[in-house]
Amino acid sequence: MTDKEEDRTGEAVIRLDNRLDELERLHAFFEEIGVRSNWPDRLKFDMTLSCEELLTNTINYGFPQGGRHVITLSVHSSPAGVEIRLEDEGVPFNPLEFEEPDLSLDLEARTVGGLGIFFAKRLMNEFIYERTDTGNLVILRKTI
Amino acid sequence: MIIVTTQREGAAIMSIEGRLDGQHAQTAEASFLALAGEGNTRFVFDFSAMQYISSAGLRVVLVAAKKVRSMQGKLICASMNEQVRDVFEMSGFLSILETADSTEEALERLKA
Repeated sequence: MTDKEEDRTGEAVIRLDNRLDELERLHAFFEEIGVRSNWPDRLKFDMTLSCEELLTNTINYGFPQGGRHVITLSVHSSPAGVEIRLEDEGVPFNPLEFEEPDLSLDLEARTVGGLGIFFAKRLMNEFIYERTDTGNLVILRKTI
Repeated sequence: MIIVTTQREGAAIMSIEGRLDGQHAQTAEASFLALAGEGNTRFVFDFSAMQYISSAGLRVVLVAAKKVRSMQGKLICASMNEQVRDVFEMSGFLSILETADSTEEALERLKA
């Protein structure tokens, strides 16, 4: 193991409100972890994209009753890989039950429904969903 | 995200700089629709300064491509960096959209 890989160990947590302008903080958060944990650019991009897709879904559809809600994202980084836990108190939503997009359709017929979840599933090695007592928990794992 | 619009050789060039994500997608869509509303039918989306795109951003490009087709116009996406291109590739959009390596190349093709 090189020194650089040892440095990849770390924990970080961010709590985000259910507003789309919070994505600004999400990007800054991953920029900072990426530097601190010596992530290759590719890894940083894949983790950011997967989390943004899930967060955008939660912010747009998770709270039909309105009001301010907190979404918690925690990152555990190690030389072997990265684990992310995304927890919200939104309406039950299992992304794994979402229909996969049909990538073969022509321009007229294409939509982007389900594309974000498809990206996250494709970019991660593991995608786990759990319905908790208070909301939803998604665990993402990416091996390095 | 910053959007810079330029008119050149009868085409509208929309340079989308920074991040086209869930936060900025609506603004980008409104900018495009305003240009289409002004009567533009030939577009270049210049992605040379785009750092990041997610499915919310792809939606804007899809909306634009459909609108341009309905106007019998043309839209070319130019100068994607590698990571942005990978997102387009993963979505299957590269097979339904026209792309070019540079804005110059896109303008040449729009003239033809």
